[in-house]
Amino acid sequence: MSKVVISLKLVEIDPNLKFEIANTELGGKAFWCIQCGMCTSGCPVAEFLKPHRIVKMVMLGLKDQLINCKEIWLCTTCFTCSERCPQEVDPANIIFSLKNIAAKQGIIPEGLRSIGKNLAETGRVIKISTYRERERKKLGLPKTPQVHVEKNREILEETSFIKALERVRQ
Amino acid sequence: MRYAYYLGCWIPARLDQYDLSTRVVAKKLGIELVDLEGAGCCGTVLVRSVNFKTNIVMSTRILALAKNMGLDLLTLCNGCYESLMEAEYLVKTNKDLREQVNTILKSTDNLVYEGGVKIKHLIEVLYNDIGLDRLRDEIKRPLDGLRVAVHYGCHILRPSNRLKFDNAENPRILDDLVEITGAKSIYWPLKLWCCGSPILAVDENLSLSIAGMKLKSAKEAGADCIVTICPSCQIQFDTFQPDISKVTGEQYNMPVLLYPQLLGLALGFTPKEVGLHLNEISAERLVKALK
Repeated sequence: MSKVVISLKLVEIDPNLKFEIANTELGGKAFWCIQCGMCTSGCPVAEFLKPHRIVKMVMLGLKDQLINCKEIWLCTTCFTCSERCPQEVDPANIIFSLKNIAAKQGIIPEGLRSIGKNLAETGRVIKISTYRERERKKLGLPKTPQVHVEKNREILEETSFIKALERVRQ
Repeated sequence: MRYAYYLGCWIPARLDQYDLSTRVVAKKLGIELVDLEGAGCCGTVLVRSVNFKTNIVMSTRILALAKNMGLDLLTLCNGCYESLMEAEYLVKTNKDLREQVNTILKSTDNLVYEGGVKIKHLIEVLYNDIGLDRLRDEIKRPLDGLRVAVHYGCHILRPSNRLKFDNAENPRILDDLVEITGAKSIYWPLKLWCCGSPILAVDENLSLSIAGMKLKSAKEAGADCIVTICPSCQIQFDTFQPDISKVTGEQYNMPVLLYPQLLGLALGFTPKEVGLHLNEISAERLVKALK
């Protein structure tokens, strides 16, 4: 994160954030962090996103700042930070949790929103054109396996994925 | 050796050569691939970024479909591999989540899944089930002198506590599989780095510049080509190489081959049979150098 927080207003702090994240299935134990910076030293986007700072902000309970920042969406999900963390903090999954909290409030980057729309319409993250099917045939490949689009869509509905996509950021 | 063959999204949408070369190599080695019908996207890290549970239910559904076929699952995609492994682990170890997932699957699909399908990446099947000795015997056209920059891709290695695929900091499996063809796996500094693909939809310039750094690293190390095993990485390095050049201002002219394409050549198949003509960056100069 490029902005360094120099003043904190206690009312803006959510002291439960670290527990909220630790208790999800994704897990991630911010309170074990010793701020050694091993995570950030291996991060391919460390110029913009510093995992040890994200974890510190979780410890401080700066929920609004975290879920409104662009940087959490720059995580490439390479898991190098979680792999190397000597404290088993699991920064990658903490960042996933933060993105999930943001998405519930309708904060989703446009690019991911359109991938979500593809999923709802076709059951795949990318549409397969009829041109591709003709090409496959020319190569002697069998037809692309069919997707149960409706059943996939039901899963997206049941897990509130569609609701998050349709919610527009306030 | 019979597997439920799960293609995922990117291969049918963009990478026929991965499907083609895999089928050619599998047939030669006696691996039977049965298309997994009805399976959509596994969810992968893209869906997990928005909603973790959606990802796990989507992946579990695919495992349930494979279970109904009575087969273990073979995937060509690192993203699918990691996602399915995560789902398998959680369904097995987290009772609450298993019940939630199954409640949804029962209502949408009348499916139940309690775990048990083995998830294998193509190169795991080649390495463990076929084995290096057998592969060595099958090599008809050794790729001697070819210098390969091996790129594993993140989601086959990490998180290693879930995937248990290979040593995440110093993997050997793909290196060994490349060297069995007679090619040499070279050292290159950014070998284990991410290709940048997962953030393509969020920040295209950043995503492509990460890939650019990797291409530069491979080129400076003297690689003749990069070899990948993940459709996202392949698309990033090969299909988008002209776009990467636009962002970084550098020319790479670096052919990128999928592992079964490389193996296929060594097994004696023609470049066309392994779909080399479908790759964006021409591999002609490599092919010419081969006997």
